[in-house]
Amino acid sequence: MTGPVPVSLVVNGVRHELELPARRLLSDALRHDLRLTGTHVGCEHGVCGACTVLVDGRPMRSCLLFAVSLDGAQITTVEGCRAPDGGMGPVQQAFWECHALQCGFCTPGFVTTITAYLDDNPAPTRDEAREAISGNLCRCTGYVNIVSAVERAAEIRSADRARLDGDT
Amino acid sequence: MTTRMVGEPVKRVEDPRLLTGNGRYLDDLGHDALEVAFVRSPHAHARVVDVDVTDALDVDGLVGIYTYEDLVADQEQHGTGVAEPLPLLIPHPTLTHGRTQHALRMARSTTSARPS
Repeated sequence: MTGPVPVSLVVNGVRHELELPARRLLSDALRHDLRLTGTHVGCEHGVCGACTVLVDGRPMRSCLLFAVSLDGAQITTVEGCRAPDGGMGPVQQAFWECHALQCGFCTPGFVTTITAYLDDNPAPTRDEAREAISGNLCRCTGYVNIVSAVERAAEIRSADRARLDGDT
Repeated sequence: MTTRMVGEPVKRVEDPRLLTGNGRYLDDLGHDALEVAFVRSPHAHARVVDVDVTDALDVDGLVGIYTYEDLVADQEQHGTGVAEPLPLLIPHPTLTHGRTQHALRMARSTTSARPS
């Protein structure tokens, strides 16, 4: 058993220098060491997607990653998916409008997954949206409203972008 | 208020905090919470004659072990009903009370709380 390992993580733009046991999961490092409890741990074995965070912009299961293996990485959690002005980000706003959550436990995983997905595909069809969220489980609402929220988030993003382009 | 809400979509007031990672779920208390493991009998319908916790008490990080005897003591001191068997909801001639109970082990980490 080795002692604590120094690791540097940039979480939602803030650098944290941590000393962590080598086997500390990223999900536990976020929730327990950094007390960012927005990231939820559902199944703890990579099936449910609730713990999804973005590692250098790519969605990953934080319950399947050792925090010490991510030295220097940029991590984005649901807390970091807000709009630049501090309000709700496009995906969060769309979930609210479309009633795409009930208990909210799985929601952080959906928000991070969809945020990254829309960077790759800014205007998905319903089928593509369904495919994009197929790695996340929700046990409350069913997925119809979540698919609608993906479409709505894409609209909000493109409207935001058009407004930004108009300003410049 | 009511008439305005009928026939229109209503935005839920709890959603903004749930969507931004500011919900408060039971597991979010976990940082300073103790962890617990329930040790159940591996034998169905067995009678527990003794629970020997001697070796378990030496486990590093252990805070306490509670067995059925603690429930009896609690009942005697405070008049709680925790040691009473659960009510038999479906009476059946071959089902009786007083079968396997479980010990309760608490520790500071999951590893030491896990039954070995």
